[in-house]
Amino acid sequence: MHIFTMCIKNIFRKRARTILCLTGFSLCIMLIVSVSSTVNFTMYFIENSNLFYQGKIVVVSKNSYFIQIAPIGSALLEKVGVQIEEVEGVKTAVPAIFVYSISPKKRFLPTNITVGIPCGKWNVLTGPIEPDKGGRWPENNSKEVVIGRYLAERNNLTVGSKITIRGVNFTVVGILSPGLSSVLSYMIIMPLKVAQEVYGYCGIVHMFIVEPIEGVSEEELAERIEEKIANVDALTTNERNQFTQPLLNDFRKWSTAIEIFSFIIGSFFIIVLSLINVYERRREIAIINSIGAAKHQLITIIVLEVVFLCLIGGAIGTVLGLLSSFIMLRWLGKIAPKILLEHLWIVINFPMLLDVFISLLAMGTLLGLILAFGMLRKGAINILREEI
Amino acid sequence: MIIKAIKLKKYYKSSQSTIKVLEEINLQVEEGELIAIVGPSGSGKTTLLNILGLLDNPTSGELYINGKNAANLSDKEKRKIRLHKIGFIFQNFNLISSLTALENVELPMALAGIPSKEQRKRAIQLLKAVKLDNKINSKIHELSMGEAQRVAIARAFANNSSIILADEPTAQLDYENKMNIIELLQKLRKERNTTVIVATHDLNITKDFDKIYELRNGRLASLT
Repeated sequence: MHIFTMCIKNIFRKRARTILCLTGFSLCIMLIVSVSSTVNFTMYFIENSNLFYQGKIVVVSKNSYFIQIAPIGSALLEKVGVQIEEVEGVKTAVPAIFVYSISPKKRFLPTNITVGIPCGKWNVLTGPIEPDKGGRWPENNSKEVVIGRYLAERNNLTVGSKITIRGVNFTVVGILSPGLSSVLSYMIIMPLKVAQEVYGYCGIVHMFIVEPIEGVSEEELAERIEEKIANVDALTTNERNQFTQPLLNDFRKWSTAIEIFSFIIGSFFIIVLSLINVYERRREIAIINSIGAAKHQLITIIVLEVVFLCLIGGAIGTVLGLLSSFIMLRWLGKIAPKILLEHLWIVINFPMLLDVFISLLAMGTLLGLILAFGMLRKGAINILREEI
Repeated sequence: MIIKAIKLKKYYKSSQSTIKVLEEINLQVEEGELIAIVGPSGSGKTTLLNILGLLDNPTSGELYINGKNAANLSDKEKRKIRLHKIGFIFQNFNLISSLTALENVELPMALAGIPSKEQRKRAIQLLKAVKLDNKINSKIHELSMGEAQRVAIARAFANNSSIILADEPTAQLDYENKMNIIELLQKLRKERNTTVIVATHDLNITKDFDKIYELRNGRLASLT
């Protein structure tokens, strides 16, 4: 029999104690991993969902709000677009309208957003994302729409399905599967003219997306637009981010606080469990000491056991933590499984797992050493006397 | 002379007083002797065995094991002597409950770095010698008191120790088991020429002992 074998046998034979310890360790690690993974993915999701119209200027009516993708409280005459295009340095000015459909019974966020964009200019909104295979963009001013993946899945819609918007029948001609943008996933995209007709915005748009010609900076062009056209705000990428940045910063602070809190709680319970676990073995350690075990052998026995339990508990806890993170993101965050799978490595977050494992191992070893030295200082005979 | 104790004293200091457990112990033990230290509970028998076994330090006095002064030994050297030269048999067995009888006997050999095959061979031989060859894979809680004490005896002899210190080895046993344990100790002692010191409060088990000492008021007096 080797000392290592003895430790392993001890762990497996004292099943109740081992199971309780592993359950405790696993739950603590699960808490740490699930919170960290969920927060990490959510932060990544928010930051990457906020990348619309990069390098472009958004023109909205003065003093209106602009959040992430669309303005609130903005209305401009469509012909303002001609004025914008006349400004030196403007390559294109694409008008768009956004209509939010909110169902207050269900949730605070819009259940869908209808977007009207001139035909052929879709990429101003969606970037490189094209409708899924088998789909296409709507044809010129037809009653056709492209819808986001989430809306399609929730309403069992496929290419060719018929939907009715404000009493007008539309045909779904494409499904959009955006990577991380949940906003696109909730969208109904249709030709601008059709959207204006259906929602009664004749000659009115909500904003213009302006692309500068090469070599012209966003700030410079925005200044020119605001000088030339009265009662508009020309928002650069930086200015648009300023609306969401404080919100993101707050979220980041809160999420870091939650991560630290969960780590402290988890670590505290791991320390308590390790202490109870080794304390419960005091008598056995004292017997081995009285037989004549060397210092390093006693330390090995104690440290090995704590580290072994930490690692097994850590592995189980990590798997459970990642599973619970997936569940939270899927069911509470309403993030499509496809998106989660595509961004698996953001959820799993190896550096975070490595940090957790290193901390756990360090904690296990340190605790083991402290306890081992404590026992050695006390002496076998004193411990055996106390145990009687 | 395998053990020599000169004017050993052991005092325990509490907040209010000093308890004098051993006053002046003088003891000389030759190799292969079977010695009994008798005395009522609380007379200091366990303390004396712990000191002789290098588990505890005397307050004053000198102790020589195999001619080496215990006071000059480091903790590491004491541990080595305990592992290789001294075997302990405790009143409450002090076996490791998560290990089997065989593994408990293998334990001192594992600590001494003896190869696994040799450990197993010697452990089986010892368990046969204590008539437990049918219980080698039994857990400790599956054994009777007498059987558990026989495992403890086998463990004490595992590293071919030259000194066995038995602290009330028969205290928890019935008459028949008591006599079996003493016979066993005598048999193993003869076979291996081991020095055995037994602390007991029961004079009935000390019939064939070479020397009997009584520990009273912290002093040893010969009864033989």
